[in-house]
Amino acid sequence: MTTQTMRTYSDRELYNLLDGAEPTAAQAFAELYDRHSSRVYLYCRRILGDGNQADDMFQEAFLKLLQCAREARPVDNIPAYLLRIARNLCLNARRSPAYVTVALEEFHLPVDPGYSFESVELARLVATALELLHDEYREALALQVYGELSYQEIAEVLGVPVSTVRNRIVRAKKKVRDILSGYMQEMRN
Amino acid sequence: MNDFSPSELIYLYIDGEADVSQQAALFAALAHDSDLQAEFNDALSLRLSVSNEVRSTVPEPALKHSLLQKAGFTSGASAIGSVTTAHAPVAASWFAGIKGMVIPVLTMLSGIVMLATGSALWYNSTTNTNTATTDEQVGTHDAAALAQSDMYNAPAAVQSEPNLPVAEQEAVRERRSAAFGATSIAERGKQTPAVAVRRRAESALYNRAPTEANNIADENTEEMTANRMGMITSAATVAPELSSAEFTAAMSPEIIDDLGDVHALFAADESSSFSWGVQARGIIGLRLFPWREMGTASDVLDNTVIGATWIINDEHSAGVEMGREVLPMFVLNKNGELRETQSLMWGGVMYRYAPELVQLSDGLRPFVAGFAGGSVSGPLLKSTVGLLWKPATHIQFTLGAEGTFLMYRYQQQWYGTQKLGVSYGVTVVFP
Repeated sequence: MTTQTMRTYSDRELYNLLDGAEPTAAQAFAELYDRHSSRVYLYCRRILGDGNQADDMFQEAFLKLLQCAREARPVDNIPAYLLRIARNLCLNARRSPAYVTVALEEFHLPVDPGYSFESVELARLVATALELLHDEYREALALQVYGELSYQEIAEVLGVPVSTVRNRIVRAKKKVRDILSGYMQEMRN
Repeated sequence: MNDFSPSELIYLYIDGEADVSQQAALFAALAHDSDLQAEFNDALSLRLSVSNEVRSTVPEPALKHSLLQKAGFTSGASAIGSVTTAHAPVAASWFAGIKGMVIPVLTMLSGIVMLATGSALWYNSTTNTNTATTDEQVGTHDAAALAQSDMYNAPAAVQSEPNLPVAEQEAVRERRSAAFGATSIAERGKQTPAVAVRRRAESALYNRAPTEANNIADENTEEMTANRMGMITSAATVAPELSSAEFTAAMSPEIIDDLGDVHALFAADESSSFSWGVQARGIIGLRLFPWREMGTASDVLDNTVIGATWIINDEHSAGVEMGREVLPMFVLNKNGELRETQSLMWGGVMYRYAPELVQLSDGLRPFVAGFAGGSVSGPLLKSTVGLLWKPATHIQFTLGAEGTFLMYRYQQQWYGTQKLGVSYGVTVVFP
């Protein structure tokens, strides 16, 4: 079985292959990683900052997914499940004494040079604004914009009603915009 | 649900979560509130910048490697090497690019082979037709040369051969030997071959069949009557394998005066030899279906096409093309994920028809063209309608509207996407 074939498989088919032998399982795992690593990676970094701890939680989320597959536990929505694991890991990490706040200047995410400087700068400012939000708001907003989950999926991950998610995201976005209004005004001019 | 302020409704609307009444309330407020309009624009900018960041963020390759090792996969390193994504490192992207070119290049090569085979078959068939038409004429024409030599008491071979290159002289001698050695028209027609052939040539040249009285050979009479229908063009096929000097030598003086026509026909025949062209095209995307933002061309080679064209005649041409083009390759799955391909390689065969009857002005006429081929994602079809301008024999310019249909497979399902664009190109024709 080739990696090219793997690309034609659905998430669920790949998940089922994780329980098999190498190299098929390795290829399936690599394909799932390629599909969903960016959003999990970004989410972890937005919650924990740009440090080794975020990298550890990011890897741990994928390892737990693999463990679930080997235990034959059914998973319907792979990205939502990965982000749920990542969220729990990140929350635990934030509560632990080892958590260290990382200065804004250390956010050095590799960004495609094809995007404009303004766009890159604005994205960094959004990350800054996110740090200023209450945990509940930041969590919901990070799952929505970085994890690219729907309101319904976020509700399932957080274990709260959709209406609560809606309120949190809308107010979080409005708060971010208010935080950045001066910069936005400058951009418009 | 309706306790959101107009400002908050903006974010609900952008996320696709606003219901109809909320949308109506939002647009009613937007219509007369400039601050709200500014906030709407800000919300869009924020969403765009974050979504760009998500798409451009790359976990370090070392993380994947160590993760596969932690997972206990001994083939972790090889899995990394063989799996590439849109966010892969530069070396892997190059490798993926080379791999991606395989299908279009193979398709183009197949097209070249098909065209070359078709051309060869076509060329052979036309050559064989000429040969079949003139097989017996070879003998009769050479006999005419001898007859001519009888008439004018000067052997045709002596008249013509000294003026020919050595190789041609040898060829002429061989043909004559074969003709006389194999079949004697004199035996079949009870007539000297020179007379029969000469009449045949005259008939062809003047579109005049010999009378029964002049025609001794019954077989040749029937043949000449048939050739009569062939009009003057038959003259060119009387002996196409001979040079005009040889042909001249075989003709009588009155026929020689009219050889200008024959030369013209020979020239016309020569001009119909194989001609081909090299073309370069550019494509400006106008509209993508279903509607998407037009991806920004990230490379100088995006939206360009090169090809080789076989100019079948003044109206028809066919060829092979290969290009790289920005297409709406965004796939929206059930989780709301967008997968994007900025541009893809394609290749295949094309056909173009430019009717000569419709001349809009000097050298300007309409054309239609079709293309069928493959891309790295799936089959690709194109059709173009436009104008063809030929300011000179060796150059052609085209401008037209081009529709593109691409089929691609994602998660075991086939999808289709379309694009409308403007195609502009130039073809240089050889020889």
